[in-house]
Amino acid sequence: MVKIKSAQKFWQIIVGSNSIIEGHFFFKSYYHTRYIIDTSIIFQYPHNVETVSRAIYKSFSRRKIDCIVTPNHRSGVLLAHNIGDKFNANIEVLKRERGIINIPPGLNIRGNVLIIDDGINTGDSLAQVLSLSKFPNTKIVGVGIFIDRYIGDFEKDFKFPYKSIISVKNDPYNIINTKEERCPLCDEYRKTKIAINRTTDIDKIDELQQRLKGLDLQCAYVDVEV
Amino acid sequence: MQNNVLYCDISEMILKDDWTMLVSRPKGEELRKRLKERISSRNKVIILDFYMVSRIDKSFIDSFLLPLIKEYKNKKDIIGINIKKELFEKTKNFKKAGLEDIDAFLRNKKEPFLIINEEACPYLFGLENDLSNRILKLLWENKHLTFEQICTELDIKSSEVNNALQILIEKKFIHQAATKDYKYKYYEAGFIDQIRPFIGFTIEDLIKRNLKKNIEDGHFELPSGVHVNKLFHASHLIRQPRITKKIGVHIADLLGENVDFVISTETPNNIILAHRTAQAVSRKTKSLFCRQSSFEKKFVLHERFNIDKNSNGLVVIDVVVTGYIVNKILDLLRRSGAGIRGICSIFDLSGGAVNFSPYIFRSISQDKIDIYQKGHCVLCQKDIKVYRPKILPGDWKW
Repeated sequence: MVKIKSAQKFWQIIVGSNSIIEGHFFFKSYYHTRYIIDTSIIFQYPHNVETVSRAIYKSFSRRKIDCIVTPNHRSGVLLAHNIGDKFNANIEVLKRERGIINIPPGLNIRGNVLIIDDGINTGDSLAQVLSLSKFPNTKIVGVGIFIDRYIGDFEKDFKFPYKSIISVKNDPYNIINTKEERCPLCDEYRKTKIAINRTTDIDKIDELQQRLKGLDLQCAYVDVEV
Repeated sequence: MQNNVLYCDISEMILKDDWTMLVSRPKGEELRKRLKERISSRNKVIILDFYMVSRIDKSFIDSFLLPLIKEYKNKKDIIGINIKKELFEKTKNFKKAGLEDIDAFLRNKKEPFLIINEEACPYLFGLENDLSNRILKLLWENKHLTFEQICTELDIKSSEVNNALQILIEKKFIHQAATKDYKYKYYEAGFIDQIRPFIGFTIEDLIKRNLKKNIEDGHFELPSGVHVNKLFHASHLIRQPRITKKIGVHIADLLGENVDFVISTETPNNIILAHRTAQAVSRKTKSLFCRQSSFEKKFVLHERFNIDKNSNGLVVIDVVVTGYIVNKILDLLRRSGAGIRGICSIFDLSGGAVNFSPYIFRSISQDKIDIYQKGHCVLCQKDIKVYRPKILPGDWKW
């Protein structure tokens, strides 16, 4: 009972702040999608950051953690900073240069490491960060994620303990691999010759919200009153 | 952190309401419940951090602090509390404030065990004479002292000092030690030394401690075109969440009145700094960031952020050298039509040359470094390689 309630409330935070942007986007060269969720709009209010970070903290609270690592410098940092405060751990931001995450040679990370990101889509950046497990004296305790839109099965692919707050599954417009199937959005935009735009009307967001309501949004490991 | 020390930040534990005002009785009872879940049998020292709190009422103390003290009186060695200096002074002066009740309560039982910091020094409640507090202050400043040194510095009879010291040793606040030859005996601040990282530092102190790791020597070119022989960056400070939280509270105290949003650039250090100050100002303040547009040299807001015309903003940044970036943010705010409450930075390296004249400008720590104009750089003439650090937000492209 609690799980469903909290899932709805987290979803209200996402939709209420108009953070869903509809359009035609591409992540990597051959992955396309219909909408993205801009978390930096959600996190402009500090109390939203706290509610999310508290939920992630609860799922790892029994572990002892020495350092927190994020690959995201914009909103992942805010989550990491709030969670690091609760664990009394320092944080480390990995820079991204030309699409590749740069792990500097003099990086001094030891002990139990928790990796935190605001969202996962193609899982490309996470795969690069998880190479930290090859470092001596480091142990990756887990991965905490706010919005999970991952294409495949996370636990099969990465084999690390993993917890997300909201996961979007069974959505046909979620993320389309254009190598395997044809992207319907590409055709639409070619016919009507609409420029690819990031701005959206409010009506469209309402439509999208109604469509997304039918999907099963799983909410995992959350028992926080928001 | 050591296992027997439990550190609790009060701002983490209250989420629903505003944690800066601890006023009502149910709040205190709820807090006590949550704290009970955290405390285990192995924790000998409990420290509560009230740093974010700006007001404490008597009803809160009756419902939270006094029962807590009664419960853990014999089980724990120390319960420490970290409070702002202003609050501490208020509670000392006013009878209504409630901390006097604790003092009287402890005096009846003759068991001192509360530590409350006053800037950078612990203070014990519940002692009949003030002498042992003065001894604690001495030991806090100098790590170990002999018996004669204490007597000479205080100018008091040795028998009185001996009595005060024995009370402190009984309660395990300090302990006696000797050199390897057993020739000299001296006193050490034992438990207090363990607490030292958690309790009682001013922000200027904290910044000074971390200063060495925040400076790089070399030859640098800043985005304004100026050459510099030292590079300050606040990344080592901001990597530690505890310190950043306190910096945010400090900035909110300086310039936090009537602020609707806090703005800074898109580098991770500045994003966190803006977020922490907005958190400390109030629940409704936004934290925004801007970046350099890819076509012009203007600064632009993030696409879906917006600023109301009637709102007031506060500019926050980590380092000011020539004021190049701050001027661009001010330009953005003027274009949007919002009011500007002021500008605040952690480091001000201009040596007082930068003013931003109609607006208020404050900084936490000041310093001066050598600044060379582009044609006249001394380091360029020596053929030292120039390094361009990524300071502008446009450099941090996804």
